Amino acid sequence: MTTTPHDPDQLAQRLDAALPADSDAATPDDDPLVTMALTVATAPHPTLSPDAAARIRAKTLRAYDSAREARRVHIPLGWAAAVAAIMTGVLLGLTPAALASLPDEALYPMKGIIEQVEFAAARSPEAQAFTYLLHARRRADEAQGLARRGQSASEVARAAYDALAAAAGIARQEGMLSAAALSQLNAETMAITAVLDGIADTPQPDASATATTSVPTATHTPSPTVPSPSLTPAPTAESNLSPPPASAPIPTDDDASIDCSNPPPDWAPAEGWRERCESGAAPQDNGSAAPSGGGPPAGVGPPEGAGPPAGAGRP
Amino acid sequence: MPPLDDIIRRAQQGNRDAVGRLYDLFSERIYRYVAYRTANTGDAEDLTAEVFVRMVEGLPSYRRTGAPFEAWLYRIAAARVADYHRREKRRQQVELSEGLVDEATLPEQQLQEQQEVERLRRALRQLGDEHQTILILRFVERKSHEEVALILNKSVSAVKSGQHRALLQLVKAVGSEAKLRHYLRGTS
Repeated sequence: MTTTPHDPDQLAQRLDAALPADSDAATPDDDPLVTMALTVATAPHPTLSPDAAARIRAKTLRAYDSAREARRVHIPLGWAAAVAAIMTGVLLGLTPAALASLPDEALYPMKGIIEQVEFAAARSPEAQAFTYLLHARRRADEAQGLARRGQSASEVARAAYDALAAAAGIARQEGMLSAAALSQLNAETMAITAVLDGIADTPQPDASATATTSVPTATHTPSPTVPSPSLTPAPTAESNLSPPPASAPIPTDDDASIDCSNPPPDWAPAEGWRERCESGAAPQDNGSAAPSGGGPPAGVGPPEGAGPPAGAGRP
Repeated sequence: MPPLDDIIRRAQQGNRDAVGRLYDLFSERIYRYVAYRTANTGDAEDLTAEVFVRMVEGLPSYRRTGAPFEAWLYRIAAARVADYHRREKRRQQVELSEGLVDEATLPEQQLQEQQEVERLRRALRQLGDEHQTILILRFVERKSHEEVALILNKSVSAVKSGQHRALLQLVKAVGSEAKLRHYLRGTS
């Protein structure tokens, strides 16, 4: 009598008896389901021909070689990408700290690199002028920071003036900047100058120490070895940044407005003063009053068309 | 012979011989599985090659879990076969039911056996993917219910239930095949 188990567990038991796992044994059973399983188990199975087996094996190993080669190439690229990403992240993360650093700090050299990049990115004269202003602002901030610490700020103050002079040099070239840009440059220049003036008025904690340095300090403290410098820039914002009218050309070395009785400090741009006054070809003293603080005469800017190179304005 | 885990580890570390060893260990059973589930020898060989190419590509990321290594290969094979059937369906290709066997050269008895085997395989291919896999693993590869459960990531009772339903359907499908053959013979 044929019995058909309707319970999967019963069928499983009968199948285990008729067709034990991991064995070729096959015991006939009258159950049609077990018989069907026996039919499947005992039927000739497809086999891989030796040729096909060898062909597929070779293909597999070729694929393995290719995959390994591809990984060899990808691993260095992957590492390079990872390192580049980390470096970029670190640099981006450090940028704010670098920009806030002072000259005696570890990140300060990075600040110089960033500013060189900024200057290189400034293509138009207007952008370059504003980049100089930005750098002047940073130098002024550094001077403030150094002054607060009681350290000499004269180097960075001089760099601030250099940057202001460079901005002015661009501004003085006719048609380079729009009226609005000129106005903004003037305002910024005055603001930076005010900051630098404020530092100049701040008494240094140790005047005798500053007096012995070869570089003038950013103070009005009289020094026996160096002339007392002024942080007041030679040109005023208005006179320096506004494009000169046709009837009033930018002063040159031949200009009679150069006052040989009022030498610029060592750290300030001479703007032709030394060439004219120290070579014995001094013009007649026109009696013009020197700006307060003893800076170079008003209206004297950087040489025409000779802006400082990228990165100028750095201490 | 080194244990399978050792061979797998060496293959992952770039040992070409270990990859060859893995192929030698599993190529026949993967081919059988694929051949039962496809219509002709050429396609079965191509699909087997695809499975092993996928194996070498995936070896670096292969991580040993509770399932045996061959479970991973069967899964790759099942996916390749499913993809093959999707492609075939799109192409509406007529199944080359007799494979590459030249029936004209076979003796009558052998020819009859060959036809019976082909009828069985054709009936098997009418079942669902999972039922086919259960029957192939259980009765072609002679794996235990527990092994099949591990390979399919199912419970043993689910495998037993699936086996039961698969055999019932296969009996029905073979019967239908036989009736159809009888009808075609009678009318030809």
